[in-house]
Amino acid sequence: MAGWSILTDGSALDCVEILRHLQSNGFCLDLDDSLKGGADSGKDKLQCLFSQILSVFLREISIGEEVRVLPAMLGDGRCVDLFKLFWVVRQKGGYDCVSRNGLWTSVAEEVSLGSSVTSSVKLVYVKYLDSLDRWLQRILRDKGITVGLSDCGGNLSLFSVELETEFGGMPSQTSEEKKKDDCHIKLDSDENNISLLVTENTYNTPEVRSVMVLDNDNADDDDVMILERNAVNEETLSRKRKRKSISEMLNWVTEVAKNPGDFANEMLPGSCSGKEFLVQALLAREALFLRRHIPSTIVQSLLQKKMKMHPSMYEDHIGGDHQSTERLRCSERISVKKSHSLSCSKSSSATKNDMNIGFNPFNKVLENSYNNRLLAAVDSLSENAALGLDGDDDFEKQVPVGPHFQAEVPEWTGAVSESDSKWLGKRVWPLDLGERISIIERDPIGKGRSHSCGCKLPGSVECIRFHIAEKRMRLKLELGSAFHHWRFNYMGEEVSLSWTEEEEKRFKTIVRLNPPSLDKCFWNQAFKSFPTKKRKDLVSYYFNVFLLRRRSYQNRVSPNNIDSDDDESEFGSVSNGFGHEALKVAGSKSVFCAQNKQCVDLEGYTC
Amino acid sequence: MRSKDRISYFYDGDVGSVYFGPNHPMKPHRLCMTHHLVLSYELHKKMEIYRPHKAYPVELAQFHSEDYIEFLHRITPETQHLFTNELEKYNLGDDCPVFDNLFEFCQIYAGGTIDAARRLNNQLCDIAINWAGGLHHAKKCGASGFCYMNDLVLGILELLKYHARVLYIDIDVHHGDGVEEAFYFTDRVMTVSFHKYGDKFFPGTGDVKEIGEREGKYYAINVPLKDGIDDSSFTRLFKTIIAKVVETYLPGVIVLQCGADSLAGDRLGCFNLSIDGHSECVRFVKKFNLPLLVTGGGGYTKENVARCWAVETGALLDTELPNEIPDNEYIKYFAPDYSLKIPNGNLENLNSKSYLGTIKMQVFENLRCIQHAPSVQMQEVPPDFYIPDFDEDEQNPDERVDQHTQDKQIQRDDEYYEGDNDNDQSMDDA
Repeated sequence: MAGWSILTDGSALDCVEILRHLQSNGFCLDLDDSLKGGADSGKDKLQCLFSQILSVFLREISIGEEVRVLPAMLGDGRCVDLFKLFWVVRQKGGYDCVSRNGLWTSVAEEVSLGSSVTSSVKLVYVKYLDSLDRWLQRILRDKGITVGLSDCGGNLSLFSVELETEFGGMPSQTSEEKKKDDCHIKLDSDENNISLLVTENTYNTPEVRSVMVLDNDNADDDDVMILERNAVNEETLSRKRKRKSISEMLNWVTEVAKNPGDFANEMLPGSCSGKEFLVQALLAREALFLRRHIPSTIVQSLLQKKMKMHPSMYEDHIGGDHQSTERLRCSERISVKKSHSLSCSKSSSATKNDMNIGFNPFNKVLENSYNNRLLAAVDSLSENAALGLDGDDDFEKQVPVGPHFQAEVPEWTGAVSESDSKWLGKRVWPLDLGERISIIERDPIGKGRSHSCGCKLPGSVECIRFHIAEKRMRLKLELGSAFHHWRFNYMGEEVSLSWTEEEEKRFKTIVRLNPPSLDKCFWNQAFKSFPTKKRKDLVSYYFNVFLLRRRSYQNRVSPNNIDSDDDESEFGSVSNGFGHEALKVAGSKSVFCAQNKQCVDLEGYTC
Repeated sequence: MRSKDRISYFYDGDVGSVYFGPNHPMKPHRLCMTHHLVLSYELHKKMEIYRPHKAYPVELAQFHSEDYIEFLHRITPETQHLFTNELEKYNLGDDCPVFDNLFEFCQIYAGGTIDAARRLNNQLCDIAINWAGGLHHAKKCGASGFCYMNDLVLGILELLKYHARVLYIDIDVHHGDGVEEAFYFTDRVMTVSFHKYGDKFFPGTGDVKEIGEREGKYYAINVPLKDGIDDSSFTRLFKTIIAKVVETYLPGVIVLQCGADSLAGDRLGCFNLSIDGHSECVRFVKKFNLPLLVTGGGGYTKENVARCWAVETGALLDTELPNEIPDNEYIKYFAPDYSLKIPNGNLENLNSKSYLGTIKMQVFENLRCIQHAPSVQMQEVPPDFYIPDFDEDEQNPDERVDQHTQDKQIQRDDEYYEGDNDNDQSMDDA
């Protein structure tokens, strides 16, 4: 559930993208290197890790609420170093302790923001960090007693080592706690990755929209994993839209699992696709655990405490939010599957196998070099396949057959049956003037743009505007009634003529204030704000004027990053309709014009 | 030499004015852009342009279930919250949202393809084009992958009234599952789809092993491809397979779905075809000189869709379009080069030679089974005679069928599908 929402959230891919970026900078050979990243390995890396964890965590807990925007800022515009703030408060004994002892002023000073903003700092802490801290505390309570630190020693990631050294001076309790946590993350990650594949392969009834709560009898603890097979399924099969990130790589991993021989071939020098995928897989694993450990442990602790709480209860704050349908569906799935997981011995046993596999490579990873890691990964994956978890064949979609699917095709009798000759379409062109097509046909067709013209300043705004208008007029004369049939009178930026400037501004504001990424639909808003306009007019305006202007803005300001199919990209102010203003770019004046090679040419297309 | 082809082109001015919703990749406005580009190249002067009738529910019911049509007719964005069960049942909502004028939109594009088929049936034209059609995912009882009504199935059903065998070719990057499914049991329609398969790519069907069932066994051909296929491998494979298919199956009419999402740089696609490569397929199919119904399909980078379909309209008119796009209202969309070329996707071609070879062999093996299937009496091709009940002032009304048959015989002597070592890349149609 949680994983799903994260995975689908485009922006949640940030982590992966950061990792990819690092990869492209040459850190692809060693995963740990890629996270260490660059020269300053210590604090920066930690900070990066922390902010990743935090952002994922915030997103998780803030669903339906106002999303906490990062970086956190004070009223006066200064950024708050959340990482530092977190540790300072931690060092002082946590939120309660700081509040009790009135230490917020010193906290504010220690994070170098000054005592004047004490209350703001406290507020930021409450908003951003408090719940993370409490969650960490709970982990500690749940785990700290039963599991000795030594148990996880082998699995300690470099992060926790870093943490230890970085905050060596901290109370040991705290570093232990963090260590514990990191260890936990690691465990989850491995298991996540592998069992994700298992899930995908083994449970393939498409109707079952389920969350699998896999109950692992791990040596250390009772990890409860949530994996939503539906997420995998829906994402890949019932949806057409591109979700290119993980599924490709996952598929590759599955392939490798099935044919380890091929994998070896792919790893031969000269072929880089395999390597890329492998690196991607490893990176994704890293990124996945960062995201997934949080929700799974939340649910885990809920389950462990045997809380008889309906999942939707802790999503109550969603209220009547439009996202609630999705969320509620998820909740249902959880509740169904909770019971399922307990009874489903198959799933748990499968996972147990998996867990073991999942661990081997990880241990090896720590002690061995990159190559060994590869082998370990291959081993585990092929083992995975050998265990009969390879359900890819079953997963294949079959063509459904039956009276509800196939068309009724009559036998061919050799004689034509009747075909309605009444409805053949209405001829719009050529016009019915008594002339036959042959006259028109004599004209050469398919002429391109002419390079020369008789204008005073070829290529100028006036010149190009003139030619477009000229072309339009010619077309109008030539097409006659067809011009209107095809709605050419509603084409191009002329559509804006029927809009007042005020209306245009209003439309733009509505679009800007309702970006689809926040799941808001500017469309409904727009329709409400323009009661006099038909929806058709709005669509027409959107595509003929609004997008065209955005496009011409992109053409000029960011010619290397043009995307007029993106409904979201923000754009500055381009010259207004038929006006002849200079290009205005928010904040940077019109310096672009002078530098942009295309500018001369493009200038003409502004209007 | 074939400039006498009569082309009917279908367009309705209202088709581009619907909106699937913010961030939905399907943008019907691309149809306006296509039409506008076609007209700026003055291609209209060589063809007849028709406004299709809006398909009646009873016509849609030739394939689709009545309850589904009825529901689609009734549902509006305002009332959809009352019908959550039905929405789920018909797979509406996420990929296939309910939007304003949805039903009218379906009527227009389905009507276009049906009209196109009828004009072909009545021999009123040789080639019919409906860029608004080609929504090949729609199922009998539900929507799928941005498709609501399957105009292709409806058009083919119409063609089946006059033709013993219809060949359906699909070069959309997605598998043409709706059409394949509809005609899975029949040998009267052969479906051939070239598409990306694997990595759980939508819709998940289209393995080479899917070949049809019952009478339809061996009459569904799937050519599953991997990411990044380029012009040369694609067109070569396409020509080899299609030539063999036409030779074996002897269709009376061809339906070509030209989904433009197989182009490089598509928002949803993952192939690396240029417009040249894409339209080469169209040119090749046209050379069979069979009645041809051409539809659109996918395509999610608007300006590339417009470019591609304008070029292909030109190709069907035997007109090569010059690269520089003439001035028009939408010229800004074609920045920065204002040309018909689209940037190469710089994708690695994951289709190895041996992989493509294997696929080809499997397809050929299945095709061989057709020749031995006794139930299909290929030799008794019923003539496509049609006696129109109105005045026959169209040029060359008769002889067509014979001409086609002859052409087939001639084409069969060509040698570009002579097995594996054939590396003849260009189809030299004399």
